[in-house]
Amino acid sequence: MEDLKGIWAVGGGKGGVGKSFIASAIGTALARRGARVLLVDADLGGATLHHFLGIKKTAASLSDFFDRGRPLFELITGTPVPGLSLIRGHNATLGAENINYAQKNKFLRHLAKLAREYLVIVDLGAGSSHNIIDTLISADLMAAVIVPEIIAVENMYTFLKNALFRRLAAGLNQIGRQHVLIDTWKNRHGYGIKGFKGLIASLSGRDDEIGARVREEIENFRIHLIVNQARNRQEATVGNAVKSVCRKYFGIDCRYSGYVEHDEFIGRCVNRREIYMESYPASRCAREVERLTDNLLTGRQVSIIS
Amino acid sequence: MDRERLKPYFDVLEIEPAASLTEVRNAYMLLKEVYSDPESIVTGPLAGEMGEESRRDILERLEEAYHVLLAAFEQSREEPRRRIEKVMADIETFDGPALKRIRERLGVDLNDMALATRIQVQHLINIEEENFSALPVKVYTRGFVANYARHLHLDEKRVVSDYMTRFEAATENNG
Repeated sequence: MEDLKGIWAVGGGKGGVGKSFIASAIGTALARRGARVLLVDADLGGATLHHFLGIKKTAASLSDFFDRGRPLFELITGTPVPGLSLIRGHNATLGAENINYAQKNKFLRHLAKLAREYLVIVDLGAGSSHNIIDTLISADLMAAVIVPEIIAVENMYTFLKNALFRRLAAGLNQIGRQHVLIDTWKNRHGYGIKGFKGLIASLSGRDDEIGARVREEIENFRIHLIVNQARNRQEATVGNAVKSVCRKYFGIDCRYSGYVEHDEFIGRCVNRREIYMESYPASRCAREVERLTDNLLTGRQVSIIS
Repeated sequence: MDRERLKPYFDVLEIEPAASLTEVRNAYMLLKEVYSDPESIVTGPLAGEMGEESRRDILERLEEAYHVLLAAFEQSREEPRRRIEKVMADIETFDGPALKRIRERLGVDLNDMALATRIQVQHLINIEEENFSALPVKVYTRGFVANYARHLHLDEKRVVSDYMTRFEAATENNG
């Protein structure tokens, strides 16, 4: 477990689906198994990750990185869980989510450096903006959290399409053909392209260089789906369904890695400044987090629940 | 069942080629439900993009995969029975080699059989190889052979009758 390094990014598009809880719970589960974990709250609009770790405030936060230019590693603080560290996000500055291109690249560079010493789990926050998507696609493991509701599913598709689009753009940029993607999408009606699948099909059928690159990017694109706040096992099958749509419709390798049932004690723990995974390790929800963590490590999936 | 050849159909149902019949059924039922309803929380958000056509296309492929796999499972269930029927048709008398052939066709291990029947492996081997002189006296050997036949769900009476005729002929000649 000590050898587990790299970046895991937890996003999903919609706010309030429990990205921070999932990130903190997976982080706690991994730290308890002996991994050296660093949680990074990159939710620049609404940083809440520290609440799930029973921490009120920390001396340093990401504000010190973005506003005062301090290096990321200086902002690391401990948590009550041995082996689990945190870089707290920031809420204070208005418009803080609008970091610029240079800041974003510097952030990704610093993250990559930390990922040599830690398993870095990044809580991406809501939305599908460039900064969020670029952090996602730079990760070694990409995870998307949804709840079994139509808005969350819809936002997740947008999130996924943006991520794949950025990946394709980056891939084509490497061979100097990025403009083909932009042009094709802009003039999609002229090309007779319907939807995202049509875009992929059209690009794959272009000259060998573009087609090969597009296919390669799609083959290497893997998203781990997590269903949170399922109220029963029936609702957990939404994960199987979404996974299927991602595979059949977008042609993406989507893995249904786990589901976590709704538990009102999670909210109570936050209010009482307790860590759910430590206070209720035997609860159903905690066991589901453990199984989810196993699946993320091994690549196993939730089988279809009858 | 050639699961490697059937992999494309398992892929359509999004399950591993090692999947059981129950898993095949569950996958088919779930996916059919998903793609039958264009307004579900999963398909609804893509309704504009996905189009009736591709949804129907997916449904057709699901049907095809399910039927191919069902047929394959049905066939594989009949395979051992059919194989054994073929062996049985060739058998005129249940001698040692015939019993061995049937047991092997059924894929029954001698050690498992020994555990289940509580007959020593060596005795089972002696029955199959017709080492009559190494087998115990008639009444015990008869019991062993009956047990052997029962374990393979063979016609116990006929097996015992055939086998013991040979056993008696051999032991009487020697004695």
